[in-house]
Amino acid sequence: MNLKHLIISAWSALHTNRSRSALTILGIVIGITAIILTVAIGQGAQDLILNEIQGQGSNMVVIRPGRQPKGPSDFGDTLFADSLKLSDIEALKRKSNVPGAADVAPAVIVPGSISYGNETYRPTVFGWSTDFMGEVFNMYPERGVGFNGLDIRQLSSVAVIGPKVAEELFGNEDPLGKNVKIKGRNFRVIGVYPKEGQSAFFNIDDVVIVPYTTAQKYLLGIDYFHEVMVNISDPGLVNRAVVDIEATLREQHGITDPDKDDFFVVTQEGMVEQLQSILNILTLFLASVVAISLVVGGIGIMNIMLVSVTERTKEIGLRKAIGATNSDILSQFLIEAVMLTGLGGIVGVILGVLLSIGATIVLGHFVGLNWAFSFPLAAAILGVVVSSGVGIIFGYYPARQAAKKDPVEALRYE
Amino acid sequence: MVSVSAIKWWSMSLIQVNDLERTYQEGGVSTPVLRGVSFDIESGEFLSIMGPSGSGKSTLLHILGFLDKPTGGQYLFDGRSVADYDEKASAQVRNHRIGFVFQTFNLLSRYSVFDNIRLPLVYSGTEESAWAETTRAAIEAVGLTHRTDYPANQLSGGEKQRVAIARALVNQPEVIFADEPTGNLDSKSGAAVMEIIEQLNSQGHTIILVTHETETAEHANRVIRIKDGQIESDRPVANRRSVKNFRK
Repeated sequence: MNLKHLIISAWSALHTNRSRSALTILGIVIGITAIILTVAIGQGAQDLILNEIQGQGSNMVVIRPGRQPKGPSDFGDTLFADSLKLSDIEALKRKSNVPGAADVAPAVIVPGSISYGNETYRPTVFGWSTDFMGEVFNMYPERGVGFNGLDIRQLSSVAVIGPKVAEELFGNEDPLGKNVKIKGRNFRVIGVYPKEGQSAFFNIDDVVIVPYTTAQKYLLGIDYFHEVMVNISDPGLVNRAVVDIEATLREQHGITDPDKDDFFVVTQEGMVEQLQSILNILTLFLASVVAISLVVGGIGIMNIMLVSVTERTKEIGLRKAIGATNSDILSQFLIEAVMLTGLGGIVGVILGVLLSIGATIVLGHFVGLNWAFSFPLAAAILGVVVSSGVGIIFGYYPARQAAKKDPVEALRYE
Repeated sequence: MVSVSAIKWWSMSLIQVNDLERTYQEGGVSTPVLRGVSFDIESGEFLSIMGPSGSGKSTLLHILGFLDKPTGGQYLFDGRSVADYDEKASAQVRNHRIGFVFQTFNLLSRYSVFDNIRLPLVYSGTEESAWAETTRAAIEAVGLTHRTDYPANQLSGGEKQRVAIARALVNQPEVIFADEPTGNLDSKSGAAVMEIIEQLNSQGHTIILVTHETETAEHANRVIRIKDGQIESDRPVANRRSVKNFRK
């Protein structure tokens, strides 16, 4: 039997049992749809995050205490969490140590809520420097002002808040000059940021920034920093600056062996690489979870094909009686299975792409993200190929059963 | 009555069966169904095989039709032992040289009359361009031209059997095996079917008919009676029935 007639015959068999065929491929359709959706959205998220990273603070390097996590067991490693102190900041600020550093801004994160009158809200509270926000992220208060070096040195109780925080706590009231309470301490609102929306790292609308010195002493009671951000004067100097920063901090901490560093430096380039690999692993992981559904779908196909082979025992007997060879019968049922799963794959790709476009529109429209749809061509091709492969793998056994049938017994089958 | 093998100079029989045995093995129990059957069939003959159910006549037909293999003895088809045919070669014989007509018609109900009759051609490995014409000729031969595009499941029993006959002869096989072809038909449809079978025989096809009805069997020129897996009698039919004569 030539391929053309195999396909015609398979189509006729599947067409006769339309609703059964449709239900059978549902598993494959769902599996492929999910894979396409996962990959398309994963790709979109990756593009978005990488764009945000690349778009902002390209000259920024971040110093964190502890060791750079190298594997799953390193996560949550709080060893040396207190290694970055004020003396380190001063050393880093010295031009002779790190000539490339334009500004050094330490930061602490203050957990907890903030209140004004009876209103309470839980924003992200940073002990930081508003100057740094301006220089690196180009973010300046829309109303009021940021705080300056003097406020930091004097441990002023002032705060610059995001627009969402202002809205939640003050409603229509003007927040400027009002006192908000953070951990029982009064902070005077001196500035409000403009509406900016979600960035890859944090929601600027939802932040409260107070001088890091104040946060350290009065809110947290610590003398170390959670993070130190360094703005490098020129992108070309970043690598050089990293070396300088490392040398400076090692000297400060009396470390001779780089393996024993109690801090690590993250550059934008490194961050992109790391994020990319994390996102890739995540997408792969999700895709492989989804791939399990293909196996389930494949077993469904096998089940139905076995039923079909049994139902059509007499047909198999007849076909053999009029000259079909075992391999003709094998091909016939195999083609039916591949046609089923291939069809499921194609429908799944179409559905997955439509849903991805839908998700892109929804995310763009309602969340306000600049989320671009990227057609996952590789995933689409892979989806159809893999689903057809599933047909071959799970269709082979039933097809083999069909081909092996004894013609005499098959003809007698009722 | 001229066929390919009949004009061969050594005049070998088309089918030679020698001490043929078929024993079924199931669960350690062996059931002999054919116990030493011998006969020859010449090309162009019209042979009936008769016997009560369980006599082994269907098994014999299946072996002669390359659907089953003997467990003992010899079966030569056109001078060549059936043991020499592998699975593919057997399929080819069934396709090119043998046609089957079954009691239950065995049509593919989802196919049209045309597609059912064409089916052996699809497995024949012949040039596709000639299929349609060959198929139409076979449909015409059984007088079903007006039913060409009907789905098989909308036909009457007699029509179904005529479709099955057309399917059996579409590849112009030398031998047509008919297993109780009138068993599921009323007498009128049965007569129509037997008429076509007679016609095929007169055109040179060898006919081997299995039946348990004496009237049907006597359309042949020779009747072999089987009982308990052995030949009871093998004799020519003295007063051969014919549908045509009957009508007159």
